[in-house]
Amino acid sequence: MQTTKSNIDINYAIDKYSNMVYRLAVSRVGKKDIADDVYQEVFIRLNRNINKIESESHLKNWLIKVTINCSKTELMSKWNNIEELPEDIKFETEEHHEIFEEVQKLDEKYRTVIHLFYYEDMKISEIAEMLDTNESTIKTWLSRARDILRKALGGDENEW
Amino acid sequence: MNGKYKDTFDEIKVSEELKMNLKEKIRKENETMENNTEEPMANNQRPKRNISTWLLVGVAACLLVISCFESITGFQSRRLASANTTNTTVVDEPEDPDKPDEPIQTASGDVDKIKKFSGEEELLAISKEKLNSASRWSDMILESADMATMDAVPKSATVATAETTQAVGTNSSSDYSRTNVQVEDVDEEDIIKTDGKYIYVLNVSEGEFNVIDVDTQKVVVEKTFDRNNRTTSDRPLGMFLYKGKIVLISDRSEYYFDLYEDYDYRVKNETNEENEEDEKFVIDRGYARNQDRTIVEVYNIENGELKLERAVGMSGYYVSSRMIDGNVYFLTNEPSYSYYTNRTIYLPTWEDEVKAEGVLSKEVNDIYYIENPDSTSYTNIGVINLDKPNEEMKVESIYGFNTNSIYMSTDNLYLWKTNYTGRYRFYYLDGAIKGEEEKVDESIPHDTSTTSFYRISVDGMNIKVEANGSVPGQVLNQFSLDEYNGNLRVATTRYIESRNKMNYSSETNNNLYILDKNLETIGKIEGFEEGEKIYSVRFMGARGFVVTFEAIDPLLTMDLSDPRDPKIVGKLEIPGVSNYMQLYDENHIIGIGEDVGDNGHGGYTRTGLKISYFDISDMSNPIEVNKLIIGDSSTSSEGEYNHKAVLLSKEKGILVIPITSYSWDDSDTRELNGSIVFNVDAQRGVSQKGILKNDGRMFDTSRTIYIGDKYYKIEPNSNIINVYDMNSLELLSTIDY
Repeated sequence: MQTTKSNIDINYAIDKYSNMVYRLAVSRVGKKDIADDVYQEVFIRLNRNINKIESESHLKNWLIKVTINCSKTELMSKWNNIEELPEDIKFETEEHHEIFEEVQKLDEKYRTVIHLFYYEDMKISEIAEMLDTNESTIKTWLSRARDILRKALGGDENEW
Repeated sequence: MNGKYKDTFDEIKVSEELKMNLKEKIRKENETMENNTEEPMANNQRPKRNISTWLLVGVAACLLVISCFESITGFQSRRLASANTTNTTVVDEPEDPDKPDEPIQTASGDVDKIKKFSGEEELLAISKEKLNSASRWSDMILESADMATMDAVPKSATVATAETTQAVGTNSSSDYSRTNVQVEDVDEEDIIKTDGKYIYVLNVSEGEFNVIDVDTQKVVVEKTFDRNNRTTSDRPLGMFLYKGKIVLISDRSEYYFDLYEDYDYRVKNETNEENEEDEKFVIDRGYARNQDRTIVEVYNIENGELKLERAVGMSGYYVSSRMIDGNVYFLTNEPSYSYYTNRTIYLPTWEDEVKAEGVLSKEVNDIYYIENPDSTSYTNIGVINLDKPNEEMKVESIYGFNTNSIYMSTDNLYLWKTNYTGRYRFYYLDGAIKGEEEKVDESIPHDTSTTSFYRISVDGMNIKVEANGSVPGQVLNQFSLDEYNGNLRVATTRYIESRNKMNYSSETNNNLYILDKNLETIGKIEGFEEGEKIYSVRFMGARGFVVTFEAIDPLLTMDLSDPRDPKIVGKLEIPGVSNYMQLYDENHIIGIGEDVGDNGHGGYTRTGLKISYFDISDMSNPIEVNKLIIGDSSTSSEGEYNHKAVLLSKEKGILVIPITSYSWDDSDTRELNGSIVFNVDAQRGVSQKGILKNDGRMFDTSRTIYIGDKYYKIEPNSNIINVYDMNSLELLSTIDY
């Protein structure tokens, strides 16, 4: 078997995509210490698979997919210290705290779609491809999530 | 764009400490790798042996991703099937694809091929061979892919449940609805049940169980599943009711905190191994680490308290369950090893205090398998009898199988598993990724998938693995299987490799097989409706009904009265497609599906929810008596893919299904969220009566049951039950618990 040296340097990937992976993990798992572990696991897996990453956009997609996977299985939470209670994410303003709390109440899949749409600025079609589903389903989830958030947080159509 | 959301998450950042810690961890791991290689290797390159391991981890991870999306979306297995067909890779090949081979022959008539292991050595030898074989990682991929098709019940909070009358022909005198099941007298687990006095609701997303008194409209009993404990996480999956007892089925994940250290150690050890042949495989009789187990608890309600009568546990991920006469049959799939301890082979384990304290494990020589198993998993079947709480739980295990799902008649339990094959497939999965020259094994057939079965005979607590066999193609869901006069009828969609200059894909056709008790094919109809796939299947005695779909929906009627000579006798072509067929009476079927229109790009697109009423009294000339098209492209019903969400009463002439609509601009369509009520008239068909709108989460699923002359519309994830008058659909009260 032949291996080729990857174009992507692991440290470059960590520097560039740490926050993206971490924020997505937080949106999925909601707790700091679990997100910490998901974050580390994602990049450890990347390191082991880096030869298969073909391009920057492939890298980004790969990281998003694996982050969702790792958060989903919650594998990492098993590796945490048993003594500690999960640590909450801390925010500077009450408003941000409230928004985060309401988002966390959403279904996992809604959270993911909301995050990819609002934070990563992904198009509906891109999210659909990423989640291996169709666009109308994503639209449905997005709209459900927006409805719930609007109800919980107030605000008009333009806001959510 | 929502600025507030962005601002909120902008505050979340990785600490520098964590980042440095990660970089250090990776540096150490890479160092370990390099130190164990004879030749100096560039950063990130691995010694040869390990590449396959990482590929395994990576690709398995990717496929797990797929399976987890599958589970998020709750798509049926045909989504997975279609994913296979869109696999495009450029290859330099002649225009003409090889001619498809003759159909794969079903398993030979060797009835004695099912055996049990002679002892630990045999299991270890097979495990070692499978785990060290070159195809191991692709084997793993395929197993992961299989996981995606499991109908392990609540994938997400929106997968909830409903109630309905029994299958066709039931004359239930008790005036409340029951779970809509496939086979009369074979109950299926669900998240909502009623006994007429109480409504039992599992809120899967919150991990809550509530029992609501129908008269007082108050919660009489509640239980919370501990979903977020630091050491375990319990997830409720479904329940049964039997003579005042409640059976709750849940999944437990247990966390092992030292796994990560173990894993590092294993990685280090692995790279130091001199010779793979010397690797030591061992058997561990405990619960496999890092894998789930399924818990079945039996409760009584005494003095307003939930009293635990019995609890049993069995290793593995929950698949499905059935109940016949108070015997609860539940199934799990379980890998025989974990990624983290892959030299350790685990045995199926269970806990049953009636037999002994602590963890019991299956004796190796009591595990079934067949020669050359194509999987390293176990499928475990557990049985308890609710009338005999002191009788030991019975467990049977099959090695080399992980069942996609199950179909159960009153006499037999059938397991099925999709096997992925194909002459070119493995090259595209493996070789092409590595940049190898194409090498294909000409002896491998062109089918990209086959389905293998086990038949397990069932008589109360006695279960026996009886037969194994296979047919070409893939099974859609439990309704694709049906037993009649001791024979199994199976409808499959066959995917055949086709390859031209530009891509690798597959062509489809459809088949119906009739298998005898040894699971040998005795009759078949092959290759019908080429280019289409099966969307729904239903059997009614000697008659079969298959809906295939590409752009138009043919409903095929089949005469299966002679199992050796099954025939297609009629065909109705109408726009749209039925994703589920509900048997109404012996002459009528209700189709729940989608109306479709041209999407302007040569394909089709959903244009609304479609309810069809078919008259099949003349098998050679099936008729669509009437149809309703509701909402727009955003309108769908959970009843299309979850029969338990369908409420049907022939006596009352009603059909109720959940409905969900989302339209970006059309506010009228948005009103279509909740449950939709239809009147059903045997002669004239289906007409819309009204909508029971959702109160909680607008787009969430809702299920409807009836007790007496009232509908109870349950929003299980919002803990709301609305009570309606069945005739006027007037809202009588709201139970907010």
